[in-house]
Amino acid sequence: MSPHPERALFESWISGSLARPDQDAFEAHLHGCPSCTARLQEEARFEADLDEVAQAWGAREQGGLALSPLGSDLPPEALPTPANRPHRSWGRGLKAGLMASFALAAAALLFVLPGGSSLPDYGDLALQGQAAQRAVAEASSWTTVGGSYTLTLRARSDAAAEVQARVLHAEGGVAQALDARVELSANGSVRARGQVEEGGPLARIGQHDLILAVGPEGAHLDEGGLQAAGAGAAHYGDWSFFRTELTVKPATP
Amino acid sequence: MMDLRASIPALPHPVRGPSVMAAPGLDDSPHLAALRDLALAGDDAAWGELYELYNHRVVVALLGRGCSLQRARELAQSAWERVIKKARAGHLETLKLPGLVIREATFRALDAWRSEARMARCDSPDALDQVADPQADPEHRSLSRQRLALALARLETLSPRARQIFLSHHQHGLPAEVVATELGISTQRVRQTLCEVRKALREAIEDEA
Repeated sequence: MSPHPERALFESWISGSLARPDQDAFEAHLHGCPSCTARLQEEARFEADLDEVAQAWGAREQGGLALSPLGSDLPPEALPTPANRPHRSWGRGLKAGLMASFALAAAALLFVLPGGSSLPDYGDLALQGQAAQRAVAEASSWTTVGGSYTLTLRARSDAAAEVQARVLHAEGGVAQALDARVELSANGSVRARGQVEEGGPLARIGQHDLILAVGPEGAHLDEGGLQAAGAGAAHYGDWSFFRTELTVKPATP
Repeated sequence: MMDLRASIPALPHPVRGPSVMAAPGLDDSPHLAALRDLALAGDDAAWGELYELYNHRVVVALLGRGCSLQRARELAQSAWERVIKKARAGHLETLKLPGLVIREATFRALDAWRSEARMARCDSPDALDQVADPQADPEHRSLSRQRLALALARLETLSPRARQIFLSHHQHGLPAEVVATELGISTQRVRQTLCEVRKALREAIEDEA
């Protein structure tokens, strides 16, 4: 194997300034070198840190406005990542007071929460979205055309009475609200039950993306919110979106 | 039908750029704006040019989320295809790049991670920890306030031109080629400046660490 490249070469690759032969040689080395691959990933993460510095500078220049993520095309960022997660931007998620109480351990899942699963405690809603995705990965769930589904957001909140929830169906980058019965428990958990109706949006056999939208009571989820949810945003205005999946199978005769 | 391409302002030849004494980062360029309009109108060549300008940035972002180089390229490719498809279906009114493609690719990475996690769980519950999560440990990765303050302080000491180039690229996502054109300097000079700023900020942050 060729010798490990110097840091300058990693930086040049990241900046895209390597000449083609050098780039090919560098990438050929990476192919067989896990440690250099890890190092390149670290350099890429530092690039994300630099984005964060630039965003912070911009926010400061604008008088301390909330940081906006690099290249965001929607009001809130889609995912909390090192690259685009502004400090405490999750304050946009729900109203500040509500945020403080609607906190800790949330996980959206369909039908089954595997026994003994312990949900991590997270102190903000942006990370609860991540918790939801982790939990979804643990859930296996399906229903049939004509069958019903249940979507649960496990959370702990003193402000359950002050929130509302909607079930959305996302397809092709757009979301639409489904007709589902939503129950809010005293501890802040949300459960939604719906039916897969023939000819309805969930009637297609296969996997569907469902979103549980949680927002303050009285808030209106407008067209922009539906678009944001469909495009994969984690938040829109006062609304937070928790994504999960539902597989619809043909009804057995 | 009107030829939209004819309305694209040509990339100007290098000329002396605007004053940079109080220069904020450039947030856009007429050429990019025209390219985006063309792309949204369905022009394949415009998409090709945007891909050339932004794809490396997308790949780097995915690498930073823990993907291998090959996987990052595959995800980036499929994210571009998806974004183009959305645009053609009329689902996109604006085209903010590279963030839109990075976001799309990140969701694809997450989907893949979910699937792998499911399969890993089937084999062994412990194996879940060995599946790369593209969002792994974001708290750990986020710059601390102190490190951020140090980086900002260091950024303040840099020349206005260096800062302008840095902010154009990292705050507004402009590709080096576009920054170069807008400022009337060479692309190589822009990349060199970005490397120098990167080094300076790294030193500021690592000194503290």
